[in-house]
Amino acid sequence: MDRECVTVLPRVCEVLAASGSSLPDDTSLEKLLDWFTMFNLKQPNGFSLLEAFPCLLDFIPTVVNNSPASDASILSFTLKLTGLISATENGFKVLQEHSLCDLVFDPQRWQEAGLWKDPCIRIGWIQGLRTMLQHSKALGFFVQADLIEPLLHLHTDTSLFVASAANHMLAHILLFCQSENSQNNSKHLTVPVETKQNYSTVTVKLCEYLKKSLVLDGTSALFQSHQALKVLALLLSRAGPDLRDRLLLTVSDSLEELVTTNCSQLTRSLMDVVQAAHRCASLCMLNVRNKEMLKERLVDIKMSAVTRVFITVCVWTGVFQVLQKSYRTLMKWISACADLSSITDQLRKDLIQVVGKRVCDVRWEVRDSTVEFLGHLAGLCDTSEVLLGDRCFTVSLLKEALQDPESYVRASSISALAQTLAPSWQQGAVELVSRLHEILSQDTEGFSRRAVLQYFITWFSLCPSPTSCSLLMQSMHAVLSQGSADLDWEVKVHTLELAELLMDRPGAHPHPYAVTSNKSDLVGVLSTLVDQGVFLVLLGGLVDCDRPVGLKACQLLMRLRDSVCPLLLGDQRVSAPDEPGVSCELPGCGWAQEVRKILGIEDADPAQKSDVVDPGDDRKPEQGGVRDEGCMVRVSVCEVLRSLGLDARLSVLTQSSDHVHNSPMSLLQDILTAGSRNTQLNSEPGLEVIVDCY
Amino acid sequence: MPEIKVTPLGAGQDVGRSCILVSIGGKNIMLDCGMHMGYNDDRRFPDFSYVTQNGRLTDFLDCVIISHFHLDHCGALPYMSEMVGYDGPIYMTHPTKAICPILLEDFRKITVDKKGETNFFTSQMIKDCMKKVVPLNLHQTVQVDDELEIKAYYAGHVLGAAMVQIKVGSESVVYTGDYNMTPDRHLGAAWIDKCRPDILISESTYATTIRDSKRCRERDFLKKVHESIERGGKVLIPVFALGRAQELCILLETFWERMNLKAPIYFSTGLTEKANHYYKLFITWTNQKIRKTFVQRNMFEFKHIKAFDRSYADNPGPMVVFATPGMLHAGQSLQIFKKWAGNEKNMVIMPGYCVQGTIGHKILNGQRKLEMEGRATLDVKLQVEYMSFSAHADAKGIMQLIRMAEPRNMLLVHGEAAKMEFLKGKIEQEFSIDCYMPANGETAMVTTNPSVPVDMSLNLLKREMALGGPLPDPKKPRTMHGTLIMKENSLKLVSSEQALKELGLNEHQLRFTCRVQLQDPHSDPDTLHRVYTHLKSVLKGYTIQHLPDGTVMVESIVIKVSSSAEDVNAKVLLLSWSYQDEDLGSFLSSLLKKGLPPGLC
Repeated sequence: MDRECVTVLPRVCEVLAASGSSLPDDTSLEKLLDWFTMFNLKQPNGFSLLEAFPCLLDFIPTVVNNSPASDASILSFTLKLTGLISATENGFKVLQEHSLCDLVFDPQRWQEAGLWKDPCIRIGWIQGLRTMLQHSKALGFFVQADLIEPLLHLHTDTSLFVASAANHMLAHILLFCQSENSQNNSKHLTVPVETKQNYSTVTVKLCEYLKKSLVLDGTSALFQSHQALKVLALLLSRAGPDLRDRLLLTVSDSLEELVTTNCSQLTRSLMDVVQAAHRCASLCMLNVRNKEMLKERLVDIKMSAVTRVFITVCVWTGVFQVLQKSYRTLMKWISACADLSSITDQLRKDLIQVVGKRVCDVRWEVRDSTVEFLGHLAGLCDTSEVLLGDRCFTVSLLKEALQDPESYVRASSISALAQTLAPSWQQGAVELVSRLHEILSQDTEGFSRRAVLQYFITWFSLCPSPTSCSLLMQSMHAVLSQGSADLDWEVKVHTLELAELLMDRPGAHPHPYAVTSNKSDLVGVLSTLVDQGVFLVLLGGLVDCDRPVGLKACQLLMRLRDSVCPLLLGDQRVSAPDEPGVSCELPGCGWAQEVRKILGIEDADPAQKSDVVDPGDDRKPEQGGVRDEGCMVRVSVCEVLRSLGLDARLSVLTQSSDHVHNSPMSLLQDILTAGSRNTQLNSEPGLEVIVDCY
Repeated sequence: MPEIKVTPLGAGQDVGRSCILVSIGGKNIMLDCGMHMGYNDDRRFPDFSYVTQNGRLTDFLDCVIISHFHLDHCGALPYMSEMVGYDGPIYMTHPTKAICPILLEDFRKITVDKKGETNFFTSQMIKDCMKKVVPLNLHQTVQVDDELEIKAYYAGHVLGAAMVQIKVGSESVVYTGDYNMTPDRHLGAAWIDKCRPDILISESTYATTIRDSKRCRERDFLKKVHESIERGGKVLIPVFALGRAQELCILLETFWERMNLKAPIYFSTGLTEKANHYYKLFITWTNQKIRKTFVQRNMFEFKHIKAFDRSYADNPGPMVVFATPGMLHAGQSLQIFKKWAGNEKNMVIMPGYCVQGTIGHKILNGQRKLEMEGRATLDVKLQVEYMSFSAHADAKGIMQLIRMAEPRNMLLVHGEAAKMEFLKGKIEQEFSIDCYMPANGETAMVTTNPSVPVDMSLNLLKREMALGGPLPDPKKPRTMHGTLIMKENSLKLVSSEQALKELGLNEHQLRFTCRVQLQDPHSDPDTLHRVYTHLKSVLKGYTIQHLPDGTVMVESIVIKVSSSAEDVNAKVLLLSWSYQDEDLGSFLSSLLKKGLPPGLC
């Protein structure tokens, strides 16, 4: 793919360089940079972007020299690209042989061209430089070109984005100097004097700048102090001990002064700095009195949090937010509470009353949170009974909630009911199961239907053996067929998960590597899966239009194939002699048509008979192990499993469904098309496609 | 001077995703919280670290207001509230609160379907986010806290879309969201009071366009569908679950009825049912025509539109299918497209914008050979049409809204820079007001001059008239005295006596005294006279009296003289004044400290 991109890229560069207006899609350039960044990351040994894409060397000066005419977004892109190329020493060297970094990162040039006022140029400049600063040569360039001053100027830029980018850049430079220094020291490298000087110049300048910025004078300085505090907080949380101590030593006086000015707008940022400093255990550098002042403020803030928690204990309030928090707090408290005997009768009575009342609230938010609370509580078996008494109370409330007009509540009540399931549960089950079937087949909302599937999954997981859960096993066929025909793909995925449980049931099929796999066992297992509808559910899922459904089905079919119908010597068309000859009926319409197409059922020449004999069936075999019976077609399960091309499908399905159209090649093509379309639009203004909402 | 600050994090000189921060009267409000569909990573959401680091959004924001349910206005909401962390109130209208989670869920499903992404909000997060939403009624003032109040106005555009007025004290801002000044098939036109906000923040998608009549576009659309059906073709309309889909359904339904067409129309997701339920439920939010005919026939009970099953795509003969998602990037619409693309009789109509990286984007850009899985190529032979049905105000509409609301300043968002520039010129010229258009991350600052209304007591007015002055004339300001009192959140100017009475207070007199020592070899009465003469010559225009009780009075200031027992030439001047004359009293004391000039008789 990359090779193709190499051939297309020069044309894309031409289009971009020639484009006077921005591309219709504002994400294209960012995605192009993403691709270059990924490319850089993948290259070992500093193989530079320029070696892979030599056309970029011409692209940069063409765009920059044409600057007033070039579009600002393309200029910004070029600035960032230049930074990306020069992030490797090789790339930097080649660019500087053509003096391109000097050209691109000269702020004077942009100012004179009147482009500096555009924030996207300033952001491009900062981000380009930041990407570039990965090696000492880049830092040398940064110092010699005297770019510190313009950068510091941008630190208080009117644009929030520019100021924030400058903030991160300042932190990056200091951290970079620190890591280079420590690496050189640990490796005992002899570093040129000039490089050492560069590190020290930058560090001194930036520390002094921070110290100066912290001092408040006038309203404009407030923003500067604010920004300086942000950089400090960033730095203190990441800096090593040397840099950290140096920073604190430089700024501690200014920080103290700032604390005493008691400027409320800066309190939060100050707290961030103190916390970051505190984490690195260097708080001692602030004197005790000021520490106390900050502590007081911390206490104030903590107190308000305590008050909030206090309020949450009051479950009787009608304010929803508080109620929600109360439930959470109560749950946390209950899970942490070792001694349940502290729960008094009064508390139990109150709780029952509150839950009974809130579950009928007019607001769905309140009803839902209450039902969710009941579910969480039911999950903690003993506690639930201690708090709410008999399980019947909870179950009857939840059953009531199944009728709720709001689907969120219905779904929550089904999930909560699943929490009340016990292995030996039978009481009132028939009625509930029929209600769940009703929801699965009729509910207009995916949430509830998804919850029904999960209910059956939970139930199945709890069931010790099929004989002890006859009701569950009776329901299986209906749940599988309804769930696999659902409109919601998540319901279908859950249906496949349920099918997986059936397949995984102890004794459902022999272990693929088991030495003795009795043929009659295999036949029995496979027949059961066919009878329960599992096989058809998997086939239907395989051809689903939603990728996760297809993927899950494909994985399950492969497992089935590999364990039940192992290939003989890897030959796709030859079946093992002891293969279970189980067949199933494939419908003639709907999704089955897709499957038939894959199997080539309609297209195959009927005269060409297959050698496959279905020993489980005494009728005459047709082609491909298939018998056509009007609309229905009888197929051999193992034959089908081998003919679906599952391995190839899996490799497609594991990729994102838009991987082709979201690829770098596709992006390059889109830019080319957009470029030519731009020219077309300029000549025919009526063609304009207006970007609007979605 | 107080100022209002507006900083777009999104929609500043672009039509990406709306997210605008407003700071007014010490309150911080986030207007819309939209998502950009063009990215597959966190860049699709606004970068909230600009608002506050450490994710403490609740500490910073007083509230979030969502204008309508389109994802470029609300798509980042669960990310913001549940993943970044925001527990404060979120306001939106009732229909938006009902429909917004459907779209968020739809989008979540498409995203997860496509990518199998894990770092994305879940159904539970959408629900938890919606629990934080406080619904709004139109024209009802909602008190967010003691000072901040908001009020929603009808915006047209889509069901439940609202413009919001945000008010703190006498300062106010109106945010339009997306709006439409002409009624369409199912919604009415936007309307607002003459509320004279300090800033009107308006969308400007169609800033330079005078949109051709919507009827023309509709006719065009129907003609294309009809022609395709007539020649036995199949028509695919990729849509997102709600909004435009319903509008197009109404359009086709009425057309089918009128023309007595038999070809089936299908809607591919199970969402229509719920969507239509909401359109029925919120009938008061639709236009007059729909409301009037509602009793005889509900517009949203579609006779011709049936639920789609995936096997129908292979049926012979013509049909129209609405399928999600709207950009042909995954799921059902993509599957149908692949089936139908090879036949030139078929047609696909894209009713909305498509981002790069989708098939929708490619075919709209005219690409006819699409690479598919496993190096296969798909020849796109079917007709590709783009039909913009989005209901935004055009340049004329925006000017009309300005005339309605009469703002003091204008601020444009949600539009392209060049087009905004043009409209800005037009607005400044026609209305003589400042118009701002900050880029993303830039802050527009507007200084306000809040006028505080004060009631004045009739007694005080009468007293002023009795003093001989003319009745108050706003053009000729003059000084008058009274006491400003605040009662029940309103200000009142009354006489000091009335103030005492109303506040239930007793009157106290406060006087300042001061001793000034000076050398003056005269008798006490002479010194006092010399003080009198001196002050007479220095203070022109003041009432200065030499009283028989041995005092000099300047306004309320009393001056006495006494001499010390040891040195008769050392005089002590005693000054006393009331607090009203504090300035004059201080001035006199410092004046007298300098001593009396020689040569006074």
